[in-house]
Amino acid sequence: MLRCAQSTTSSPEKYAVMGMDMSVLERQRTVLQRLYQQQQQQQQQHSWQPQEANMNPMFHQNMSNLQPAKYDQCLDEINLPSFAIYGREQQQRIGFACPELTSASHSAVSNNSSMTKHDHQISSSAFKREGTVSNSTRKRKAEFDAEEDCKDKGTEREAGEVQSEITVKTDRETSTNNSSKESIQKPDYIHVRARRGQATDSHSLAERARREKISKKMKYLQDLVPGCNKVTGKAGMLDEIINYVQSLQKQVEFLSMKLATLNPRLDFSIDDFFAKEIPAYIASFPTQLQDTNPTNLQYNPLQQGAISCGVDIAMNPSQMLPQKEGSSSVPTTEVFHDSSSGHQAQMLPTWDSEWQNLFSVGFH
Amino acid sequence: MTTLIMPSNHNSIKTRFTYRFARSLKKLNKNRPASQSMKETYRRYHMIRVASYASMASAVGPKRAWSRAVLWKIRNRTLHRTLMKKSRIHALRTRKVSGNPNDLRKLVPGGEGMDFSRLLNETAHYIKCLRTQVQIMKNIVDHCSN
Repeated sequence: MLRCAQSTTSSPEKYAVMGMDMSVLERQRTVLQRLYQQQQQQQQQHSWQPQEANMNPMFHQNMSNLQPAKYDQCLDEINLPSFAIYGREQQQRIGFACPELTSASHSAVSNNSSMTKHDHQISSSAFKREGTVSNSTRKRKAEFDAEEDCKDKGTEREAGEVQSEITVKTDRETSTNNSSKESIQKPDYIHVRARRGQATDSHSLAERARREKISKKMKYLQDLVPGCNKVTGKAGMLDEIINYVQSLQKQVEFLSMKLATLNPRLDFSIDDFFAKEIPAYIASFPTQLQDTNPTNLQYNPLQQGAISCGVDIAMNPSQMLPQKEGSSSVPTTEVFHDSSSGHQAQMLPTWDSEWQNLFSVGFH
Repeated sequence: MTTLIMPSNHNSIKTRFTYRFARSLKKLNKNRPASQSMKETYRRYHMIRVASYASMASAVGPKRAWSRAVLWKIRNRTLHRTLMKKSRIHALRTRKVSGNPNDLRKLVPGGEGMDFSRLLNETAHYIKCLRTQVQIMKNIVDHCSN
């Protein structure tokens, strides 16, 4: 190192005194100047780093740590290879120039060798620095992540506390306004809470939420499919559901086969159906109005039917509540048809009984 | 007359299905040939079955994934005719039930690309609609046979 430093400092004077081939010496000089500048830059960077860290330690800590590392990497990547190439070129040129300049060749070669040594040293030191910097940044990143996690958990806890406060408030005050506020403040995401002993990773929380959702839907399907209540286990329930869907599809096939064989009478019956469907719909139309507002009872001539319809509606909400999850339209149709069939029975005694039963048979 | 009646019962799937299915049956009967061969009955059966599924799907509307899948399949029937035949033969051969959700995926139309919870949701709705379909078809058959 000492010799290298001497060579770097005293080399221009030496060459000036010796009066060697100026082109080679000039090149060497420029190279050395570049090296010197690079050293200075590196030193400056190292002096910058703590300053930046001190300037804004809280906010841009990660950034200020990352920047010098990037600078170093860039310099190493860009400058060092170029220097190495320069050195090799110089060696070659000096090697060619060696026979002419026997006395100076040794010094030049020694200079070159020292230069290459210098390069190696610089590069190794740079690599060391890079390694230390990257290690430190990794550590700091890890710390930063940990801090972020802590912050997230803290916010979650805070949110939970806020929610509990809100519920307490609603319990105390029991007013409608507060409940509406709560519904407004309710977040879009599903709030999952881990019990004691359960994992609190985001993945396991999401998985648990998914499993709960699936089990809820399986329960709903269990209610829907007959004979599925006795079966325990997801696989058995799926078996039953699959069997039921297949049986329904087979029934559809069978019935369509029957319809295909029954075609000669079908024509007239469908004409009949279209002819007699109309009064049925007309008769069922006022009941729909009554479904919405029961004050229309007095305007309707069919009061008895309306009462029966009201009974149906009173009976049905227990059935409607679980069905609303899947579809909102099917339960309403069932209510409507139950009521309409009652009307038809009262209003139209001449009504064809089979077409009347077309809607009313087989509801629950 | 029928077009006047439809909007009052627009909400009910059952009435819409009945209306559509009866209309399609009428149309099929209009085009009915005089001959009553086995092949002709089979063709009629197939057409009636497709008509029932199509009317159910159109009654449900494009809100549901299964109805969308059914309608898409029926619209692109000509493309998938050979594929459907092959798959049906395959299904007849290997109709063995195990508690695999993939079997349910095959049964519910459009269930191939769903996640499991949505598949269950669609299955529930599909079962309901199939039930109403079966019921109405049964009623029509009863009425016609008497």
